[in-house]
Amino acid sequence: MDTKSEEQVQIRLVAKQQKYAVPEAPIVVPQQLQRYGLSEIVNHLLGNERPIPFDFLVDGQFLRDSISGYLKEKSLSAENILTLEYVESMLPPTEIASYSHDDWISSVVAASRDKFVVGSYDGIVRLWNAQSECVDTLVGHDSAVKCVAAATAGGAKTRVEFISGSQDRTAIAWGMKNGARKALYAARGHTDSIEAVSVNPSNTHFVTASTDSTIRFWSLAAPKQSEDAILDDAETAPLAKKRKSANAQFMTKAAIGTLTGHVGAVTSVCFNKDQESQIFSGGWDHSVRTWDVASGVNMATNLCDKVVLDIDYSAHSRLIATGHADRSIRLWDPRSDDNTVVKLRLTSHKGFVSSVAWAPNSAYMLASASHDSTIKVWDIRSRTPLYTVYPSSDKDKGKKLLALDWHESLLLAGGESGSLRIHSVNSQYEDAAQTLVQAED
Amino acid sequence: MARKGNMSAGKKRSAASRDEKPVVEKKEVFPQASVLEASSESEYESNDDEEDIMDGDFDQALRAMAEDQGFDSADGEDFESEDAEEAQEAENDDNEDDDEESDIHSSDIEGASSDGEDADSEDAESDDEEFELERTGSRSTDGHATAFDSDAEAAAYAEALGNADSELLGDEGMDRLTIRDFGKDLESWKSYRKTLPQIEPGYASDSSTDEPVNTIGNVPIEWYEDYPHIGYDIDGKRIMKPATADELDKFLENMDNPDVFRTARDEVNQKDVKISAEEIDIIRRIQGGDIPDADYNPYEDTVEWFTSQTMKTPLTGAPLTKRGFVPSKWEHKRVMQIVRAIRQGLITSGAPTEKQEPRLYDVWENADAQPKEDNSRRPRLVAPRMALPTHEESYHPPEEYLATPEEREKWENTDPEDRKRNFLPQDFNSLRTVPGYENFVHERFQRCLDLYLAPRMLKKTNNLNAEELMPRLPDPRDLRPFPSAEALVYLGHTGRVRSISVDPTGLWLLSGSDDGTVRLWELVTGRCARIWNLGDVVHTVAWCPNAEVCVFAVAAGSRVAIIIPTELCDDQKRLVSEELVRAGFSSAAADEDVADDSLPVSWDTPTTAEQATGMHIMVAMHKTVKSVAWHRRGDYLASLTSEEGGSSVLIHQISKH
Repeated sequence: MDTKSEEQVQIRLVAKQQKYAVPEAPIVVPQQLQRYGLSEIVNHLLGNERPIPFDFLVDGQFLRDSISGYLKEKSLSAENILTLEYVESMLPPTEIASYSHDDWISSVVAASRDKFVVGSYDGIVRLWNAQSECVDTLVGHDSAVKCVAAATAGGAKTRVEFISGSQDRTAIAWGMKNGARKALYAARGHTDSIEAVSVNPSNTHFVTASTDSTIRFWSLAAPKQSEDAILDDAETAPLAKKRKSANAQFMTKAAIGTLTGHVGAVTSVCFNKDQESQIFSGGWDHSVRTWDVASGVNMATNLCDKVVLDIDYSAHSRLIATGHADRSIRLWDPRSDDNTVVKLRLTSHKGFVSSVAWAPNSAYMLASASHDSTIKVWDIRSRTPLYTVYPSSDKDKGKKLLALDWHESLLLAGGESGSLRIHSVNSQYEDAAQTLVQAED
Repeated sequence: MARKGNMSAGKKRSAASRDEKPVVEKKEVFPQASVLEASSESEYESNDDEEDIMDGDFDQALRAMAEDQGFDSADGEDFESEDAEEAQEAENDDNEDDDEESDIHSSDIEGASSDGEDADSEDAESDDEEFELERTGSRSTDGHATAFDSDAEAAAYAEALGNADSELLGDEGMDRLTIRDFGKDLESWKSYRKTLPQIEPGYASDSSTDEPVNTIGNVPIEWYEDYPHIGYDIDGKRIMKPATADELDKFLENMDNPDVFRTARDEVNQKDVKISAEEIDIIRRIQGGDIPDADYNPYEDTVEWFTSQTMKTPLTGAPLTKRGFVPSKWEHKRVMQIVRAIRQGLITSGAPTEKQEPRLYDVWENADAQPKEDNSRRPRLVAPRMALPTHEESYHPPEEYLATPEEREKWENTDPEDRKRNFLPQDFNSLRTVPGYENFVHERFQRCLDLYLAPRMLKKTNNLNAEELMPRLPDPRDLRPFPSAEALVYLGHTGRVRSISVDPTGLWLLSGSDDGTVRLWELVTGRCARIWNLGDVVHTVAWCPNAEVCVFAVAAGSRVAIIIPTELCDDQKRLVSEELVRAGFSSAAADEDVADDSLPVSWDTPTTAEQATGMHIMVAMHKTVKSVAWHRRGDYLASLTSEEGGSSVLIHQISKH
């Protein structure tokens, strides 16, 4: 023990963030030092009055053990100089607020820092602001709302604000019309519950994924008139008359295109934020597919062994993150030729990973919500989650989380308990992410 | 003297009978079985030896005479061939032949005697007849030639021999007789009885033996009486008679010859033979009824085969029993049995034919037969050994083994059954002074009881440890995939959940419970989407496997409800589903007369309130429905109703009831 504790190693400390830069000369430290000790050293070198926690990266991976442990694991010699990059540690997410709902929350999206759209199993889409006020309650769906997506389209008169998909097989675009927030149109055509909706980055189109194993592609703009005729042409005419649902009064929108290829329910869909016409979808057939919506071609099919419950694409890391029923998160590289290889598999959850969300301004950060009622924040440079956010109130404990959204520094999650949990995440990585993106560009 | 005569006669007769009797019998009995013939022949030959032994001395005399005639007595093969010839002749009528043969002999003798005394010839003839009778009789009784009882017979025979002065050996029948006898009997005679000096043919005898043997063959001399030759040689040339003197010359010669009285004429060789003094002596003896051999002592000391003295360990001095050399009657019968069997074809020669397995046979023939436990296979259990004696049991044990008075007292006070050992070590000066062990018999008896009564069982020990008895469980890693973690809990039911069913798309889950409700769950989230209250224990829920429709059946109490969950299906699916459930009622209306109250099932339309919840058909039955199951096409529905006293399976058709 004594001899071991005296073993030392030369390290060189490097920082991407200029404000935390220290002299690059190698220093000799004991091998037993862990993250905390190294952080103290950096703080000492910086001469900070109030210590700032740092995380240390060796070879692109977070140092989670002592230095000796790392050397041992990689079977490296202690005589070489070890280069340690350090970044400011992300502070643990802090719960800001909790908005209570009557029924299960199935989906949540933050349109802005002050506008949270919550879809609920009671078929109502609610609009909250940051002051814990329910701004609007939008009734229109016959059945549970399964997904919501924020959008910004249209002029001053008619503006689409968000879209909700429901088990009643319709997606309704909600927006401001004539100063009032109401349903602008209903996108009809799916024969089964709509599980996911995604709006393209330029806010012109959106796609919906359904359990009828199809993905439909719609334009976002409100139609001038109801497109029932198109729908009726496409389907059997007599059925149109039978339609007596509550939202029948809404203007009908027909899909531009239908993407068929999944052999099971499609649970999730998202746009490639870099490439407007490309979407990614995942479903119960264990596949993660890449589609070209313009041509309607299934460009790639990546298979894993487990049901895909949610999918998200990061423009910064250009990776797809998928949440699975086998309690794991998988990261895919859609550009990879070897389309079957999962780049990374993150396992820590104890239940279905119902939702994943990339950090909007980081190439490494990732959040996931699971049926085990926890939110986990990941840095993909580490295989262990950075933070695990447990439910704070007894009401939420043991309740499944079904929805998650990461908007700027806000982390919103909701689920079985009906409470919308809003967490604040420090965005210390912003600069680093930006610099990284710039460097890559 | 009488005995001697008997023996001689017996010999003569046996010689005659031997020629054909065994052969005749052989031919008669074994015409086909050559092997048996050979063996029996040898047996008869050995019997011949026996006869020869008995009649040896007479044979000796005759042998000497035969040697005078120059016959090779040692040649046995000729005799065999003659036997065979005669056997051929005898095959047809052996009795006639028998008589003929004996006639030949008797005529020979007659002829011989006729040269001597005419008066005796009459007696000889009559005696011969008698002899003939006697011989056949004796053969018929025991077939052995040694027992002669008639004195007259023996005398006649001896006389006949004795009279054969001049022409004793001139007859061919006689030749054959003598040759046969001598050749056969010499060896056995020598080995059994008195050893006479060997007579060298041609040297020891004073008879001239150097002249060539008559080469004319077996032809009666009388045939050539009027010819100058006496026969033909082997080349067919005549053999001329030697020049003979006329009667006067003969007379004169006889006058001059002092040995004329002992000269005999050999017709075959056409010359005179001078009889030696010894031969004359023998003839005289025979004529006098005496034993021909001068050296023979008829009054030898008696050999006491069976003495009055009983020896403790007698060496076998007993004579050979008759049984040893008489052909066994029973064996003969046995052989005859076999022969008859062979003739009837019951015994066939050659290898026994293999018993052929039947081509088809019953495989289960012995299926029921319990395999017998083979006790012989069991390992034999060795009786436990008695303990070896130790120093304590020594007659002179070391002192430390001897019991002290206290020990002795203690030993005596304990019950015999409780004693460690049933004796006390005792010290004796010598083994001689050791008394008999009084408990010996008792102990042996106890030992016997131990061996007899104690069951000797082979104790089987199971060298098994408990782990080997456990079933070998596979490694859980080999059994993957299997559920390893709880994923979802569907909370809501207040009673026991009896049945679950996943819909064909895999998105929805139905559960039926004792609380009387059926719940519809969103499978992936565990959200309860719908509750139907049926008011009775729900035993089974089952989705219709047809993906075209969205229908499920619920067995609640004694009813089966067919329900369409309207919120799950789009318009088209709902239409198809409703069509399905309504089809039955329309068809039932069409043929109302078929409807029968006796049916155990009644198809009812639910109340309007129930219809609003999606229930479309209510199938009521008399008993509790335990289970329902769909046919994979989705039209037929099987239900299991069960109550005390039996259960029944009913199959319903949705589209027609």
